[in-house]
Amino acid sequence: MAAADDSSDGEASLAVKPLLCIVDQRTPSCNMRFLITWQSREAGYYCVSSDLDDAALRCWGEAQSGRHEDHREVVETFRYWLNRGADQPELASATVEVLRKDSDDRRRRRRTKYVWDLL
Amino acid sequence: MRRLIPCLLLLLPAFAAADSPWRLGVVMGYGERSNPLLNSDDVPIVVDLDIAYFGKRFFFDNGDLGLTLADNELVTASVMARVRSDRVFFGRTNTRFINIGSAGQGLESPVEITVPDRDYAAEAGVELLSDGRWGFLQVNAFHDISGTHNGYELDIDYGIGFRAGRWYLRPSCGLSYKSADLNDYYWGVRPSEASEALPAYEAGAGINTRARLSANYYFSRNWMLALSAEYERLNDEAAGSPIVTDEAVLGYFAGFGYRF
Repeated sequence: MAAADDSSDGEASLAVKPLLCIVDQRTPSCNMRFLITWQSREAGYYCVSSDLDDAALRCWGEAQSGRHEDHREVVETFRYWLNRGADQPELASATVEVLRKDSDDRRRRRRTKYVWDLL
Repeated sequence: MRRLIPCLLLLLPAFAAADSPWRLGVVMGYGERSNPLLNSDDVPIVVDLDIAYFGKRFFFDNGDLGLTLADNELVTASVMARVRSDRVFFGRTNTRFINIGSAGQGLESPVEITVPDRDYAAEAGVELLSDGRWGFLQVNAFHDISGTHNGYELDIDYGIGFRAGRWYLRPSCGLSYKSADLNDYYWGVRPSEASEALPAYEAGAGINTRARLSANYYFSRNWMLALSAEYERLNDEAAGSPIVTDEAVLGYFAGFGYRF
C-alpha cells in the first residue's frame, strides 16, 4: 500500500510513493521526497501536475512512461495527476493524504477507561 | 437491529467527513487484560469499537457523557458522567473448594471460596484537558452518584505522541487516587462474606499507577495495525486484599483497525 493511483482511464496509470503523511502538534508537516512514475499504452506528450503548483511539474514528449522526483513540505492532502498538457483532461491521479493526529477539539484526544485508545 | 445496520452503513460517508462530529472505528485482533482477582479468568479482547460524538457542548465518548463548560487556549473543562469499569473483573471469577484456611491451617472439610460479587457504579465528575507541543494532560475527578460505593477518584494522565514514518507512538502514564470507600467496596471483604478461607478485609485509600504504550502503523488514512500494552499497579490497599492475587493488571492487544 505504499503507492497507488486513485484513478486511471485504462490507457495510463500513475503511481506515487509515499502516499501518507502523519502530522500532529509537534510535527505539523512532513518533509517528503515523492517518487512519481507513470505509464501509458501509447507514446505521446504527457505532463505530471499537482494541486499545489500552477504549472506542470514536468512534461515528456513522445514518451510512453516517465519518472519524476518531487521534494516538498506537506501540510495538507493534495493530488498528483497525469494529463496530455494544459487544459487537457486527467488520465490518472494519485492522492497524498495527510492524517492529522492532533485536533482543534481536545476532547477527541481524551483517554477513556473503556477502550484502549487503539485508533 | 436488522434495519438499523443498513441505515448505519448508509450514514457512514457522513460520519467519515473531515468536519463530522462523529468518530467511528473498529479494531479486530486479540488481546487480554489480566484479572488480579482470586480464581479468575483474564479478560479477552477481540473487538474494540470506537464510537464517539463531539458536539459543540455535548459529547459522548465510548460510554462517557460530557457537557463542555469552557474551552479556551489553555484548557477544556467539562462535567462528566460515566460507568465505572472495575466490575468487569468480578464477572470472570470461579468458585473453588480449598482445605487450607487463610492462616495456613488445615480445614476439616473443603470450604467453598468465591470472590464476592460487585456492581457497576454510575459516577459524575469534572474533567480538565490541556495540550501543547509538550504533550497532552487530562485531569478527572469522579464521585459515585449511584450509591454503589459512595467513594471518589482523582485521576491525572500525561501522554505524548511521536511520529516515525508511518508509525505513530503514544506513551502515556498516570495516577489514580481512590478513596477508602471506593477501594473498600471493590477490594474489601465484608464480615458477612468472610469464611474460614476468606478473611474479612477493609481496604483504605490508595494510589494506582499506570503506564501505556500504543503504537499504530498506518497503511492508509483509514487502515492501520494497532498495538497496545498497558501496566497498572494496584494500590497497596487493593493489592493486599485476600481476593487479590496479582498486584498489577497487565494488558496487551494487537490487531487491525479501520477508522471511518
